[in-house]
Amino acid sequence: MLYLMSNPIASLTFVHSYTLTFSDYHNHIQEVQDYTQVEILLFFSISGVGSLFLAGDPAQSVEQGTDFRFEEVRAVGYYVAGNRQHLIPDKPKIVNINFRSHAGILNCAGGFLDLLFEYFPGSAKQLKKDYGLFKGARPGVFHQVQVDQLSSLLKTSLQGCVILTHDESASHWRDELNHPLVYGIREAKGLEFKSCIILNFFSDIPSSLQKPWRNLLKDREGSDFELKYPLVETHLKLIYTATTRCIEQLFFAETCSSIAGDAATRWLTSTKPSNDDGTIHNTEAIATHNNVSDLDSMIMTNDEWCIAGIDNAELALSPDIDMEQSISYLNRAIYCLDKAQNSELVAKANTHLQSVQLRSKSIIQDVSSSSDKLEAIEREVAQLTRSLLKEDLLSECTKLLDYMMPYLSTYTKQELEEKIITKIQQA
Amino acid sequence: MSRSSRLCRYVEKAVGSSPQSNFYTFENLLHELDVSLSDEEVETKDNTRHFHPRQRVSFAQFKQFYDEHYAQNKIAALIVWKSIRTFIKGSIEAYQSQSKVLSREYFVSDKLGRNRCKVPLDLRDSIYDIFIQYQAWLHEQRLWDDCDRIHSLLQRIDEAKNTNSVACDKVKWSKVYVDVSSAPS
Repeated sequence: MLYLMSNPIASLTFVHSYTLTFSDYHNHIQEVQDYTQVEILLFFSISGVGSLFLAGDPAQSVEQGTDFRFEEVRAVGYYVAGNRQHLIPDKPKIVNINFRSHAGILNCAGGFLDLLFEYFPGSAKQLKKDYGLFKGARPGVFHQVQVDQLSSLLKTSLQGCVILTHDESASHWRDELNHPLVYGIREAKGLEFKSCIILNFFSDIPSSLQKPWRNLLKDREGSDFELKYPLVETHLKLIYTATTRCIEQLFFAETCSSIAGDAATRWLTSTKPSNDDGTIHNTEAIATHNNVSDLDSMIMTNDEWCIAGIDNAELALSPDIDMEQSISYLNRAIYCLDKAQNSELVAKANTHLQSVQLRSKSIIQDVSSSSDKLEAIEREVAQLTRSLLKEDLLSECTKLLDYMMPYLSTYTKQELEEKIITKIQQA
Repeated sequence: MSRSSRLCRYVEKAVGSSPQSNFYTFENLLHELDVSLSDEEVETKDNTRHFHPRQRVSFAQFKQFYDEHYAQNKIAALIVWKSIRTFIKGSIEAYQSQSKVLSREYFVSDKLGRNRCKVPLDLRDSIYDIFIQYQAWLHEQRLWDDCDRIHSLLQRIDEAKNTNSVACDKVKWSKVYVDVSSAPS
């Protein structure tokens, strides 16, 4: 039985959920894409033909010098089975639901797969892209982040975050960052982590391949790329493998400028995710650029900051909270949205905040002091109303007008009712 | 079983250990097989060849050899390594041949199929020349690569099966979980 599957635990779960299959196949061979035919023959020899369950993902074949296709497993099966045709392994079945990572991470991994299939068309059987069961935040990019910044983050806000590097650099980074959770990508194969930073993947690429990598990312290379730079195929499979180790929160960090690293940062923050047929399915890039000059900004990806900001802004609208709490939520929302570098949402939350702050003032006191002050407040409310409508903050707009109503003339009230409040209620 | 001990522990924790299950690294599996077979073999036989880890040639050592001998060659070291590891020594056809390597005639022809072996036909003759020199270097330096070790084990398993040796039963594994997550070469 052959399966194309990328996650050892998921595949075991999958096998266990089909108990008949599991009981039929005593020996479970995972990551079969990293074996040569003679190694696979060894497994047949020790377990007996007809009792193997093999699973793997050709796009994660990172064993240098192993060119794998599932057809070759069947060829070994033919050899071993001889004339006992019923023992020849079935054609592979394909599973492309990803139980580990959410769509934000899988879209990014899909971007690397697109490069792999475009420039190394024979490197792996082109399958439909994995899809996640959940939507999620896109990865963040720390471009030219300082090592001591990373170290601080790992000791404070990103405790437990796993660092993935080229295997040769893992022990260096373990010492440099004084962080035990540093893994080489090959070492981490098959494992999964809630939060990951892929560190200096691009700047640690050998100098002779820096320009070819840049050209690849800028789509400037030709059909002879595969033969000229075969090692890039392994790199692409490594970065795909690293990306798909992550469950929730992923960052790419480059501590220095490099030809490949700079190009990768641009590519990650400008490439749109595509469907299997190559059409673009999302107008947003596959990753976002974190502000590395601000340590706080780096504890979450921009999307995660955005989500936190929107959550706070929504809480500010809750009917059962007082003005002070509402202001507090909106201040938090603005802080988060600012960290997300989302100026549009910062402007929206600011408008909301101004309106709540205005409503929180005691109008009676001002009115009694002079009619000029009332006129000034009315003018301010009118401007804010326009801004709230522009930002589509209709609920807050209604509240602001309700607040001002008692102090307006009958004519103004009627006009507002007719031209704004009724329309908001109908919306 | 996994090439990474970390992954071994991870899977053991996730799946749950039981008296019927053992969790090994891939290296340990090969070692266990080697030991099981050695117990039954006559020591004078050539197949008791020792595969000392220090004499193992991985891609890193191959690249060093290649760069020393073929610095001017335009064929990338990885293409040659892949040709040797996957096809010339690591394919099922290689195992079926008497010499356990693909013949030059077979490799340079189109018999492997274009979808299977993407190495251009016009490079294959030169690659085979490099392979011949690589084999000589292995022999001279008493080195070995993964294919040599697997070929040796397969041959010994076959012999054990043919002689109905007890080793034959010892090397029959009833539950094997294999994963590759190799250490850096």
